[in-house]
Parts: sequence; C-alpha cells; structure tokens
Amino acid sequence: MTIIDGAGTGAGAGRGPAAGPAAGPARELVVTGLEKAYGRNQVLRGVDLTARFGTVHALLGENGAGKSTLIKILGGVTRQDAGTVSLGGRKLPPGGVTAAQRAGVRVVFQELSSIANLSVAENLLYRAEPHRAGVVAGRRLQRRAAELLARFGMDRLDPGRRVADLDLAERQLLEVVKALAAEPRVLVLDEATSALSSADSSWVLDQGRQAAARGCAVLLITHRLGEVRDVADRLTVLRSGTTVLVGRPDEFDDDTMITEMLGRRVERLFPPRTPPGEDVVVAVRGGRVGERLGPLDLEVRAGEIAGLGGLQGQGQREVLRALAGATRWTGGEVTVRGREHHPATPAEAIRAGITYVPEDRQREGLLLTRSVLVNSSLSSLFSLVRRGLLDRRREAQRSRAVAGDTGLPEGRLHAPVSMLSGGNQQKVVLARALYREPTVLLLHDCTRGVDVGTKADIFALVAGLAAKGTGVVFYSSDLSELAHFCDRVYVMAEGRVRGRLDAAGGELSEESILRLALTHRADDTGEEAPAP
Amino acid sequence: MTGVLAALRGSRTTLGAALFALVLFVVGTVHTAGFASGDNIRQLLVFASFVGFAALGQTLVVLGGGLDLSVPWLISFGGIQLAVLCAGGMNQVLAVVVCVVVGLLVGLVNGIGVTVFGVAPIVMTLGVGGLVQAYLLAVGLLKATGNDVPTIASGVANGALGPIPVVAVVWLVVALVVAVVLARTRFGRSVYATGENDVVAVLSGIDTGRVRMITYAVSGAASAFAGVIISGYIGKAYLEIGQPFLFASIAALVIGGASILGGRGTYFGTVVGAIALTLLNSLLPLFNLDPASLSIAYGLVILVGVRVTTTRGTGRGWGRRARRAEESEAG
Repeated sequence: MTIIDGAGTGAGAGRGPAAGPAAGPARELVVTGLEKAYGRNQVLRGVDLTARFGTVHALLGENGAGKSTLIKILGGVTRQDAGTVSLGGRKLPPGGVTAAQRAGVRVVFQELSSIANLSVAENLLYRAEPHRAGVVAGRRLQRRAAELLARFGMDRLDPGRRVADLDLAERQLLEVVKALAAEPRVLVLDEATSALSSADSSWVLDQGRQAAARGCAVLLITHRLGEVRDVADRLTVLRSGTTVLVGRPDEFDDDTMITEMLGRRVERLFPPRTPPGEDVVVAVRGGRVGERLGPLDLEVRAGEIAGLGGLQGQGQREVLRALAGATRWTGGEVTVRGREHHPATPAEAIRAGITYVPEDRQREGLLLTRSVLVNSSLSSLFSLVRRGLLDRRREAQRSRAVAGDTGLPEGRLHAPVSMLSGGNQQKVVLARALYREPTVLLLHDCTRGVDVGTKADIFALVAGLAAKGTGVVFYSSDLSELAHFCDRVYVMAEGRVRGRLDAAGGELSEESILRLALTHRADDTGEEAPAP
Repeated sequence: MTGVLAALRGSRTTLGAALFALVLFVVGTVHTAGFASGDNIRQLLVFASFVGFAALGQTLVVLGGGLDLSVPWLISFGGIQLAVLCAGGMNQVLAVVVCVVVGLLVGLVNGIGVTVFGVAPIVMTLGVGGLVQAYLLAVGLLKATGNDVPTIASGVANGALGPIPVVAVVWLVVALVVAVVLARTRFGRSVYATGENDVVAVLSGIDTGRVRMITYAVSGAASAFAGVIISGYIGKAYLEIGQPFLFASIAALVIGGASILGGRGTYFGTVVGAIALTLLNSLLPLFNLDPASLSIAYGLVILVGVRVTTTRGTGRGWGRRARRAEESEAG
C-alpha cells in the first residue's frame, strides 16, 4: 500500500550546498525522519515528506496524527528533536520563525494570527508599512493593501476595516492573502478552508493552485477529500506521527485514504435516522434580529434535525445565537413547546432546555485550562447544588456518564481540555450541551476541523439524541453534511429563509441547497459564484 | 477542610510559595535569635492577617478577571470612619458594621462601573479610590495627629485567644469559608469561569456581570474591615495606613500562584503568599541594609519568588504543569 516516493531525486544534477535558492536544482521541500516529543507524548516518530515546488501536496491525517506539529516545525514555531527539513537542497535551521520566513516558508495557521485592533491594511503590510521619515503613510498603506487584495481577487475585504469587526471566514481569507503576499516558496494551508463557504473555499484552493503554478510548493491540510481530489498533485497521509501513505490522489479511493488515516474502517459517516415526530418544539414566526436578520419563519419538530443552509454569513449564526439567548430577538414570535420564549440571556435559554454548541470551541466553547469534568458541568451547575454546595459526587457521576456517551476516552475526566485533540475538545463542548437532556440542541459548525472518525461519532450521538425527541438545529459549512444528515434544510440568504428542502420529499441534495443559495444571490453585488 | 485539600492538590504553585515562606523562616531563625520565638511568630501572624484581609477581596476580583486598586483607600476609610463614628458616640459594634457595609457599597459601585458601564477595572477602581480619599479630606474627618481608635478595634487587633491572636483566628475562619466558597459552590465555579473566559462563561449560562459585582463588593467590605483592624493595631487612624497594602494585596496573590489575568489561583495560595510576604518584610530589616538597598532586595526577592512559584504559561518553565502546557500544543 505504501508507495515510497522515488521521483523526488530525479532532477538531481549538479546539486550543491553553494547553489543559490533559485538555482538550486533540488526543487523540493524535503522532510526526513522528523521526530518530536512533548514530555512523554511522542507526537512525531519519523515523518518523511517530499513536496516539489510547483505542486500542491495534500497532507492528511486525523486529529492528533501530528500534522499540526509538523507544520509548526516547518514554520519555525517549534523545534524538532531529530530529523531535518530542507528547502531546495538547503537545510533549514531548526526553530525560529524569522529564519523559516526568510527561507520562504509561510504558514496559514488554524489559529488565526491577525492583530484584532489593527485594520486589514495594517495587518497585510505588517512590518512592511510604507512610511515617510518613520511615520506610516496612511493613504499609501491603504492603496498598497487594496492592490494586494485585488491582485489575489479578494477585493471584498475592505482594507480600512478593523480585523476585530471581521467574521471568522473573513479573517481566514485575510490570513491567506497575507501569506500569498509574501510570495512564499512553501505555502502551508492548515485547514484554511474548514471555516469557509464553498465559494470562499474554492477561492482559497484556486489561489493555492496559482501559487503552485508560480513555482511554490503548496502544502494543503484538509479533512475534505473532495478538495484533495480537486487540487492536489500528490498526498501524504500521517498516522500517529509516521508517514503511512504517499502517492497521487487518483491512485486511491476515499475508503483507502480514510482507512489509512484512522487505521480502521469507518462503516458509515451518516447514521440511519428515525423519522421525526409531529410535535413542534421550536417555532419562529416573523423573527427579527436587528436590521440584518428576518423576518424569518422556522419550525423544528421533536426528533428532527433541521439544517440551516446557504452561503456563509447569511444570518445562520444570528438565528442560532438568538435561539440560544446570546443575542435578543428584536421582533417576531418565538415559541418553545408552544410557550412564548424570548430569552434575554443564555442562562434563561439553558433553563428552558435549549443548549448551544458555539462555532469556535477554543474561544467560545471551552475553559482550556480546566478539566473535562468542570467544562462538561459548567452550564448545569444549578442542577447540582445541594444545601448551597455543589454535589461533587453527583457531578462526577454525571460527567463521567456524559463523557462516555460522547465517546471521550476514559480516564481523562480530570485532564485539562487543552491537552485533548481538537476532536475530543469538540466532544467536551457537546458533553456540556447534553449534560441535561436538552429539548433543543443548537449546533454551530460542530464538525469543523474534526477528523472523519470523530465526525461519525458526533453524527451518531446527535442522531441518537434526536431519536429520543430532541429537536436539533444544525448549521454546517460543509454542504454534504447538510444534505445527508438533515431531515430538512432551511436555505438562508441575506438574513431570510429562501426555501425549505425536505429529505423526505427527495428535494434535499448538495446541489439543490447550493442552487437555492446562489439563485437568491444573483442580484447581489458581491459576486460569489465559484471561481473558474 | 476539603477545600484546603483541593486547593493543595490543585495548585503546585501554592506548594512553591509555602516552600518559599519556609526558606525565609529558616533564614530568619538562623540569622536572628528570637525570630522563631512565640512572640515574634504571633506578631508575624497578625501582620500576615492584615495582608490576608486586604488581599481577600483582591483575590476574588482577580480570579474573576478584574483588579481592585481602591483597596488602600478603603482601608484608610475603614479606620478613619470607624474612629469618627465612635468619637460621635455611636455604639462601637454598630460602627464597625456600618463601616464594613459602606465598604461593601463602595465596592459595589466599582462593580457596577466595571460591569454595567464597561469601564476598565484599573480606571474605575482608581477613580473610586480617589473619590474615597477626597471624601475623607473634604468632609474634614482627619485630625492632624491621626484619629483616635475606639477600643473595639484595638481590642480585636491586640487580643488573644490563649496563645493565638484573635485576628489570626478570625482570619483562619474566613479563609476556610472563602476556600469552601471557591472550591465547592456554584458561585466559586462561576468566578473561575468568568475570569478564565468571559465569553464561554456567558454562553454557559453564567451571569458574569453579577459574579463580578459580587467580587468587587466583597473586596470593598474586606478592605474596610482590614482598615478597622489595622488602625486598631496602630492605635491611630490616618490617611496613609492603607498605602502599603495595594502592592501587598497583589503581591500576596501572585506569590500564592494566582494568575493576574484571572481564572487561576486560590485564596489558600494567597494566605501562603501573605505569610511569605510578611516574613520577607520582617526579615530584610534584620540585615542592616540602608533604605535603598532594602528596597532593592525586597523587590528582587519578590521577583525571584514569583518566578519560582509561577512557572505556568511560558512553556519553558519547569515542573509538570509547564510540560503539560507544552503537550497540549501537540497534535
């Protein structure tokens, strides 16, 4: 199965350490025998990878396989214990972000690294600001930034806007432009598309291809196999810190890749569903949030998984947050199980049985230094109070049970959640939402940046909950999940529901969601159709 | 008791602070005869409890992600107002209660400013501190020689239950209560959650505004009470009695292993920190340094102490916690 890359050394005539970077005949990024341990935790056990300049190379693996550590070493953020990284035949000195950047490595990290209080332009040209006598020339800065954005076809980002005011997707796009602007020799995209709508994703992938065409080695990290097939020339699969599969995407089918990633087979990603009941648990009629959302009609039945579809940023987030009590409805009628429900705070929503899994687990979901136990019980503390004190035995029992339900590894109840992999962290957020069986579960992109195995676990868990009568509102940036997991999808555009697609009626598919989302965008100025 | 044990288990840094205190104590004992005498230890306990009360509210506020710079002025207020009320013939117990309640209300003003009006804690509490000082000056409560302290305050400050000073006993009881509240109540959890990540806390159904307000109110009350006993010990109440305790209240909790950014630490840690700080305060003058060198030594020892007791967060520190922090980056 494992195909060891022999082609990498093919063009090796006249290789020498004295050769300049451009003239270097070994036109590739070579990683050999990389090892790294954090304490007793051996994360990398001899990773090999060869990515030629001018190609897109996909790097696959489940959460915890070592991808993030590998690219941290590439980016100079972390220093390896053993092994080498060389670029065009030249060894990269280990450790040191500046050295890595000088050698031409640019990493778009999953954790976004823009400075929130600076503008888009200031971030783009950070430490390269045009200046006059030491004073930043504001207008020139704006112009240069606008030029950069235009060059990469991202003119919808306004150079004058503060990064803090951008949404997650826009920040991600900014990160990509920032990396592209440096004209890197090695560009690493670490799950750069996971927060993006399909239009934005295809922009990123397209830019990756173009960078490769300009002679860059693009390392693409993604959980979406479709993307790998679309743009990658070669791929490397990591599992438990070693390279387990190398080759061209067309040599393997999806099953093979997934099996290699997990070391086991995933029978099915989407679980079988029981049909939803008739009782309506949530009904929104003419709901409004501020200027941008509504009027909006929405209904979720007991046991139903109702999807919110459409392009990114069409009001799905606002709907979820208003239902969760994180923002207030400014108009309309909202009922939960027939009773009027206008929560002023998340606390009220939680007491009414509505729990919310927010978009960004690191910033909105978890107390990172705290244990699984503390994190999972956090929103249910009121139910654990006995005579003024927390009943810690009951807490431990319930936390252990709910951690078991979500499939968290046993014996990690007291581990700080920062020590868990991304997938397990997501399960902790879910555990909190399930602590007391919710009437309504609101899921905001809960599968973002999560490996296939964990995804299957999460879907099975949510389906099981729905089978017991919980109404689920599910938003995902991944169309296939909406199409295959939901009973019904409300397609949103510009803050309104533009259509309803029922799985039972056979109307629900990725294509029908996209068509509905796009036809209602056609009149809009921001041309969002997938880039050619 | 469980609270204390949990605190011990949960915080290795507190152990570091205890070790630091022990080293200081041993150095004192070796250097000066009588350092380990009962009288001196009693004295140290009294001083430490002053710091402990001043740092009580500060610890809660900092755990909740804030900072209270009005502590020293509220201490002065507690002492002076009590003296004035008693001089006016008010029942002494009632006067103490009034002072503490007013301290609580002033703390509440801090809390409202920070949570409702969104003023930065440093600005809000500094401003309120200034207002308290202005009140003491403008209303003409101050006597040039310092105000005389009523007997209740000096009684509490100097009294003893058997061999142990009353203040230390009160402090111990309060410390146990605070430890239990922090470790075992919903409010305690809410304080930690609010301090570590406000957004997460809110989305989890915690009323972070109320939590913060309570921490500031407790801080106001604790500071006013500290003022009562400190003035009682000194025997006079004047404007400057609170001044040393701004630095002390923050240093004690940092030495005790709390994060100044909120969310991490225990009051037990602060207690140990207060003891370490007090030991240092009484130890350094024994070395016959000139005032300048004394200040330098004081600052240096505290810096070293803090560096030794708090290794978390840098990822380069030593100890298991630091390694864990690095492990978390993996994957």
